[in-house]
Amino acid sequence: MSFAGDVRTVIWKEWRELADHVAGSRVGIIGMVVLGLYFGVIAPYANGPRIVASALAIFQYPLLAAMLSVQPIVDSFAGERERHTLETLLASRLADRAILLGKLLAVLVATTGATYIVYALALLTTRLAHADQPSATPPEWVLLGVGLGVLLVPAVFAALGVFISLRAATVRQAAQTFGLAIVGLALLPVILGQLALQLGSPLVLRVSRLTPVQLVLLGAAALALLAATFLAAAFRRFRRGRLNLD
Amino acid sequence: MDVAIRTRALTRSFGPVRALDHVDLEVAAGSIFGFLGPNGAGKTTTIRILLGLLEPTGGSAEVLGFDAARDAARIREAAGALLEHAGIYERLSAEQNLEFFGRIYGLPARERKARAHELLDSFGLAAARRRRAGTLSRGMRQKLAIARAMLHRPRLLFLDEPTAGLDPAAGASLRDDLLALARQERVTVFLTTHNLDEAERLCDRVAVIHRGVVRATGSPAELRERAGRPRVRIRAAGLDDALARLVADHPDVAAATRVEPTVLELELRDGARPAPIVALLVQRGAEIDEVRRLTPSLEAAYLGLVEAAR
Repeated sequence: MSFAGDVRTVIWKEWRELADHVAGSRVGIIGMVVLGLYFGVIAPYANGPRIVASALAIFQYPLLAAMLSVQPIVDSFAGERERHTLETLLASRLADRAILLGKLLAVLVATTGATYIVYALALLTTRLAHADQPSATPPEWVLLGVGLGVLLVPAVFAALGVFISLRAATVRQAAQTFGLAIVGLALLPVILGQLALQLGSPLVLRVSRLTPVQLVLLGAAALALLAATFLAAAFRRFRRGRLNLD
Repeated sequence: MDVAIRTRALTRSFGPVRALDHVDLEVAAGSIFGFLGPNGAGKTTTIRILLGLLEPTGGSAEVLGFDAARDAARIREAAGALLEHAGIYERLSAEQNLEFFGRIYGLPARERKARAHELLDSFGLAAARRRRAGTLSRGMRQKLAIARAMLHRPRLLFLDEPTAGLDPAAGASLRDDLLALARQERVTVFLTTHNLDEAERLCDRVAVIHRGVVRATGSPAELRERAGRPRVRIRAAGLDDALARLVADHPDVAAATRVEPTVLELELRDGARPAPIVALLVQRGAEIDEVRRLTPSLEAAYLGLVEAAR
């Protein structure tokens, strides 16, 4: 079996479990439908093009994808440990990296895919409901921002979540640690920005001169770097012989 | 003898606690090996090290010719395992659990399906194959876990207390199925248990571990032999207290008890045979109905070993 085949196998299992979990819970199904309807139809219908075609979209849709990824990602290893399936999975021939990547990609592809669909629905709603407004079509930099953000923000969440879930004894513990880590992570750019402003750093001036597309690419690069750092840390942490199996 | 598992001075410590202490084991290929010991003796730790799920702090282990520390991935490829917990995905159906592991081991789709059906049939789970595994009884889940472990036709099967927590009927049924399949597929089985009846029925050889130290190794019969002195039961007419005392004073007899008016139970000294005692009884007028050698149980052997280690 190839490495890619092993990753696909893990994704296959994760999606089946996820689908069963969602389908088995009425609250889960209703929640998914409500979220999809709100962000795909109601919000763009009620608020007009700014929901899908302004900078707001670059924050809103990536955050939606990230929120969707939280539960399955903290469950990834801590849940297996809690349900006593982790040891059996690790006793199989699957490589460490295939397990880790499979779990991460399963969440990322599902949440990113679902959010792209919701955004496409929102664009369609805006087109139909607000066709008379010239701003109904998002500019390139918004499309680029949503496209990269919906991929990279949940990637950061997923990589950090997997890193935390690897060592957490329970899903609850993983969720609590993850919540604290995200708060810290969200505050970091705010604090750094404030510091740069106070100190009159030349970086502020340079950033203020960037075009929207350049700003989006800069943000995407920072997110990609963060995701790669967390992923590397997770790979480093994932050593079968040293994981807590109980 | 082809050796499937060989450990040399295998040691594992958790802080100040030594879970395994210089464990030496040899398991012949194709055999069913029982690893006996009370809870916390080091059985699960041993399996985890042999599968590369735990790093030893000392010694070495070789499984199917691969070093457990360096080539654990090769071991996991060739072995199947039912560990301390069944490890069944409760949200998946019985069939999907097997499908997942069939994919892991690279079985082609058609073979995967056929093999899954074959094993589900063998373990009496065919009717439950589409049921969510979480709704199966504990016995059914254990059977499903063994089916999963055997799915890819491993050369070696690790079973960590496979019948623990099952009722006697479910345990016996699982044991029968397991024995039949293990023999049929000629797989080496490394079985940990504290069910001595199970070990006696299934295992070719056993080792007793207590507090991380292997106390004895051998076939169940050999361990029984080591359990104590040979015992003999003699049923005869014409026994009385005087005759019983005479037998008790015989140099070959360590102890004699008249358990019934017509039954004497003797504990012989090492190397002694019952014939001279029987001859003495006949000479003194007793009419012998039956002379039977009593076999010490594996349980007695096990308890003796564990007690001696305390």
